[in-house]
Amino acid sequence: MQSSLRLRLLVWMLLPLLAVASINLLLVKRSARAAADEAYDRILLAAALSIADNITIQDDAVKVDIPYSALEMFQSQFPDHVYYRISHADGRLITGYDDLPISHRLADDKLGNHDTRFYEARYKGEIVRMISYAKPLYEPSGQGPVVIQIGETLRAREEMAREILSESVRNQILLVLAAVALAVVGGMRGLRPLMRLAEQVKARRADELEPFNTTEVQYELRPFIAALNQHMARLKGVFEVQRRFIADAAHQLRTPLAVVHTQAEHALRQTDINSMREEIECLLTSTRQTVHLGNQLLTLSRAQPDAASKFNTDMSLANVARDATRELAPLARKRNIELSFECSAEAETVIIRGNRTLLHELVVNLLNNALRYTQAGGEVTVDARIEGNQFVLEVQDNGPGIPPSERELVFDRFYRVLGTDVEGCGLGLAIVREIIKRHEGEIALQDATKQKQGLRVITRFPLLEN
Amino acid sequence: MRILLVEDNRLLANSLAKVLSAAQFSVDVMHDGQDADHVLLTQDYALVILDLSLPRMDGLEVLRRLRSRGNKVSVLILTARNNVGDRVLGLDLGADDYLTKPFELTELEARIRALIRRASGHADNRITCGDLVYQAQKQQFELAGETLLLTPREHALLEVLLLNSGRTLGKEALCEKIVAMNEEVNPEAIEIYVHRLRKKLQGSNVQIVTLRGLGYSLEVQNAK
Repeated sequence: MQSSLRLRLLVWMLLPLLAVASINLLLVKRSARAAADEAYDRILLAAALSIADNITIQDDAVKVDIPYSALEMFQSQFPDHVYYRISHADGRLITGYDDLPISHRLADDKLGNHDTRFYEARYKGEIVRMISYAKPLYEPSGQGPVVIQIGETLRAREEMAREILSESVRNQILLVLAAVALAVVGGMRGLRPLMRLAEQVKARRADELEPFNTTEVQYELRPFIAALNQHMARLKGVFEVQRRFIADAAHQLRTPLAVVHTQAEHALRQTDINSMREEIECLLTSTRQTVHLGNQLLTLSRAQPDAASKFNTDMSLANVARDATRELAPLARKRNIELSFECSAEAETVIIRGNRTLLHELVVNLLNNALRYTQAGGEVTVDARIEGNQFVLEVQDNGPGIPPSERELVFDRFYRVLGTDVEGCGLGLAIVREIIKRHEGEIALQDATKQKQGLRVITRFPLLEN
Repeated sequence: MRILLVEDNRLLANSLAKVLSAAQFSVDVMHDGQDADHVLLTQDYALVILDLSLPRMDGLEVLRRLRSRGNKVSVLILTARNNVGDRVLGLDLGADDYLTKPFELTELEARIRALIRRASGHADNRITCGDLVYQAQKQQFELAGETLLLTPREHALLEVLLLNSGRTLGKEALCEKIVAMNEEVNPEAIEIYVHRLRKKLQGSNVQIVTLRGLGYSLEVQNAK
């Protein structure tokens, strides 16, 4: 039922239809019997009147002559029994079946002249439909009216009611079947715009992401089309970011590879083993840089909005930062820079939700910058603390700093501050910003506060609400 | 010492084979997983260097089949796939170490030496850091040729620092590793032992460096 719209439509049309049809049948069943009664009661009345016409007074005695025509009326293909009883108003029998019952109600309720009453009573083990008719006698003897009672068993009536009912059942079945057929056809026609839309979507090329026209489709389909269009717009954005990224990456990889290529050629031309060795040392440095660039590009691609990276790990950011700082301790020692890590007790226990690998990479990139740009004998400190509902991670150095005019530019991909001889690929802070963005954090560059010179990088992350 | 190198990139395989031969290893090179699987059925090696992305049979499958035969040869996985899932899967399947391409040759050589040393059961194992030498067999430290007298806890702490030399270890990590060596020590006491060890290491080119907020690391001081 969930799987087919057509079936759903059909079922939801058929159920109420069947309910209405059965209520209708119940009503018909009742009215069929009433209709049969009405028809046959007329015969009873006619018979009673015909008998009444033949009542005469002879010698002060009431004489009843049952006419043949009165009895003939009852003849039908059904073997119904007909009983009659003619009596005085006080109940004395004139002719007929003496034990034919008079209804209780009728006994109290005196039958006036020309009054007619219909009722049902049990006689000889069967239900009989009865009529009582009071025939006045205009007679000096002053005798009251004569009561004519005729009873008839119910077979013919029941048969007639049954016929009416079965006719009605037949008609309704036909009606329901017709409704089903119409619903099937109508459902198919009604769903045709949906099918047409499916064909259109199917026929599209993979890169064809132009929105569908919402005005061309039926009103009910518009939200669906709008959602589809929104999705395609997002896809388009993602594709565009990816395309630009690949172009950038390929372009940026070409440069160090060109350097490697030139250095290798140059090394080959050396005839002196020592100068060749020197060239190959340079070559090795270049390849290391290329490897670094490759790794950075990979990290950046993982931090892209479209990347499959998951951001749902709960972790202590303090621990992640400390581990990353430890990882860079050898570089600090090698460059004779004092590296230290500070963390408030509060920051120690706080949990952040995000991607551990990327957050680790973020700290590594910040420290890498700080350690590489700070002169030997310098200081780099990492500080983790809580401010309001934010986790603040700060990296401070006493290196040359970044002039305020360049502080926005350094986040651009492949941007390098001029006048530095530090090797780098210009992706570090772009990666950092991307990772911050993916964690709904903030980043700011400021002048160092602990020393006379240097850079202070402040990153802020929202705390996980408990 | 025989090494099997399974690497489908022929350029990389050839240069690695040259380097390893120069280091006195005898190297067999296979370029696809099925060949490697075949040769591992019959030949004994001291070490297998295994790439993961291989034609005809994936490296992880080669490893799985190798281990399912009960072969305990050391396996070093070498791959460009730098994702944690693959790494965990590889180590779960019984790889002994994992190195991501591109790598430094010195790193590869160090890993190979460590694996072979581990496989040979630390037989003639000496670990050195500057003037400091640890004789694993005798469980003894020597500083510039002189035996260093240490209490069991100092010994355990120095051993942990030496085995992780160049790495910075926090107090908690140090305690954990020391407990694993059946010595007990609490984080507060670490400072005291570090202080004592520093005294005993005085005058040598080895020193325990403190990095504020990060922990300790054992370093060789370069002559300046």
